[in-house]
Amino acid sequence: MLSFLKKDVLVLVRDRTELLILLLMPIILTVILGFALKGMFGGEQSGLDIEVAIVNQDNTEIGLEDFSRKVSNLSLPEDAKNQLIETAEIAAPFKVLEEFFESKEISEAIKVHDMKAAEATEALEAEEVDAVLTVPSGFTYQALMKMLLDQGEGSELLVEEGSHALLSASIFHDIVTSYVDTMNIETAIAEATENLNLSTERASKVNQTELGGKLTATDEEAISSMEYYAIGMAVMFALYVASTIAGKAYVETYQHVFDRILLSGKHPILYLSGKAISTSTLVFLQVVILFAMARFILQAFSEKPLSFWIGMLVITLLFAICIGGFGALLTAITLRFKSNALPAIFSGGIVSIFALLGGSFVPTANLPEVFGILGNWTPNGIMLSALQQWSQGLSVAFITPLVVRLLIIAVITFGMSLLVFSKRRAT
Amino acid sequence: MLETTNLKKTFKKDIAVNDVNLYLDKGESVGLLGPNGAGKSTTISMISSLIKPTAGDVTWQGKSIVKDPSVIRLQLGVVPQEIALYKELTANENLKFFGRIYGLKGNLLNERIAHVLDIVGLTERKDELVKNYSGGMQRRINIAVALLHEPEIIIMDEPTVGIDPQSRNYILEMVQKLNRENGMTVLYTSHYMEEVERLCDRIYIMDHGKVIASGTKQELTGILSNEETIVLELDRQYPQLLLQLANIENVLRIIETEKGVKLIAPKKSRLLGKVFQMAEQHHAQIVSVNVQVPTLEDVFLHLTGRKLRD
Repeated sequence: MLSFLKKDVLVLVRDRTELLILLLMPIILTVILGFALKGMFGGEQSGLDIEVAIVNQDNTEIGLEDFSRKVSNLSLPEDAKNQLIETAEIAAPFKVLEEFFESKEISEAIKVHDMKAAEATEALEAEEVDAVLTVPSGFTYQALMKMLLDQGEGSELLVEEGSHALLSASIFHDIVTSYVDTMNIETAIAEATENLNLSTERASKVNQTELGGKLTATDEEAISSMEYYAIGMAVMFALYVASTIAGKAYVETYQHVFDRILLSGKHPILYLSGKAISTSTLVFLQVVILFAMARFILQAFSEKPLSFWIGMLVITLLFAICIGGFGALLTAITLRFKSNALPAIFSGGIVSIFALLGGSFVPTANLPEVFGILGNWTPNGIMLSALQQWSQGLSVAFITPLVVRLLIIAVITFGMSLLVFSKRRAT
Repeated sequence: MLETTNLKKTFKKDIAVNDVNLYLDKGESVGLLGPNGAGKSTTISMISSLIKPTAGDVTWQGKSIVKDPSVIRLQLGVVPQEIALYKELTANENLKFFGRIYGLKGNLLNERIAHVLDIVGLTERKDELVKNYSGGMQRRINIAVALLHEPEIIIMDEPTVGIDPQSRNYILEMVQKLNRENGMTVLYTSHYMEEVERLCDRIYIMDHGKVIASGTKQELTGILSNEETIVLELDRQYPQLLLQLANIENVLRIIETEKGVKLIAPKKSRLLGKVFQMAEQHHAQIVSVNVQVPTLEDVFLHLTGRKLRD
């Protein structure tokens, strides 16, 4: 097996054109896209300028008074009642949101304007604002009842996005969603820590249902455009390794080198496994080299701790195994049909489609939802999400489902390659 | 040692090989002669277990290799018509890779590599990339790889196609040496009659997927033992003269050559007088006249009506 690996690595390394495409192109594209689409990312906030109209149909004071009255009528100890009322005053949802908008970092990026409903609609149509946030009547009371007493249906903040500023409006929407999620989780944590009788099962349920795996608020800085594209381009160009390996397998067939290998008495499956291992090894080396270049040439992922890099290596290894499956499948189909059409189609079209769906060119959050859904099943899309989340400091628990999906794809593709390979010309 | 019985291969409706029966004894050098498309490569692919016959069998020391290819694979060295090497690797790297997949390692592998490089005369240039080699050198390394695991039998499919005369001669001498000095059994396919004549003890002549004649060179040319060939070289072509020569009584066959004509006639026909007379009538300048004993080329022509390189 090592002989196959050594040979494949040597053959690729000696092919300078291929090597330049696999190593230099991603870096060039990272630089171009990283600078060109800098404004899309949270890491560089200077370019963000969102105008928002706020239509407040609620009255926080009345909401707090209603809530205090409700709490006073509950059959609870006085201390508990006082604590609930104090918490409500501190955590009144809209008050917190207003303070959030007034904070230095956010006020630089988001300018809020208080308006009446009709006025806001008019401003949105006139493209004077990018989005309208409506706080419905009774919001404070209903939200506090749900958050602190788990009574009622809660309430909703309504965000209307302007079609003229999809990106800005979508970012604003994300910020509000993130705020709501954060409020919910803080309440849940508070509930879990204060109420010791609450079982672990229930705590876990609260987190899962309320968060839906979309929480992005962490202590880490948002990923920069250069970091995003360093990952995006690395995972995209890794796919080319699979088609390159299959293309080389085709050359081995028509030059009868494959026959020579068969004549050595080696089982053909060993050859196929060799291709999978070679693809995985080359992908791993390629991605590691690209990340190293991004780190030292483009200054991406600077100041990241060692644990971050270890995590990156582990995720990259699993991704490489997944692409190894693709390498084996493409090789098997190429040998089955004795044609290099599939590697050519894969590198000429399928990789670009995968790259688009997986978010290598533009983050899928800025694309129609279907892109994100499909992209979640492309190896590059999964790897991009996993590395993005890892670099934002999310825990292993968040990333595990993604890497498991990579391994499932690896098993499926390798299994399929065995099936196809066994149906090639009988020897 | 190796035998094929009623070997047949069809690709869809095309019959590539039809009822081929041949055998090789230990230490023999056997030629498979025939024009391009005669079915030689398909036959040796079946013999070497790379493709399954549609019908018939191939046995190695009495065991069917159709049922179990492994019985022959490690005893066999195959030199394909194509340069079956990694051209981006050096000769040494190629030999190491193929040696390892044959299970050779360490000192034994190094010794074998040194030995085969010596046989093909490329020791000094073993560290150059194969793609930088001349056609002849690539063919020699192609042979070296097949010899690496010391096979009992070597099958060579047109190993001298497209190379210069010097390299060709080197390869022919090498094959001769392997067979006569090392006792290696050789199955040599070619459409070059002179190569097969020089190297092989016995010859099978194939055409349109069938063996049309077989035997030693003497046995094959014996088919034409009652005939002789008159080769007439002229200063240019004379189409009318050709027509007239073809009508001479006793001329069995006439073939137009590059610079003249070849006449096949029964021995002692005494045609020369008539030939000279007709040449004079057509004002044709005779450059040379040669009366030959039959060659394998003539045998093939006699059997098929076509030249080997048609």
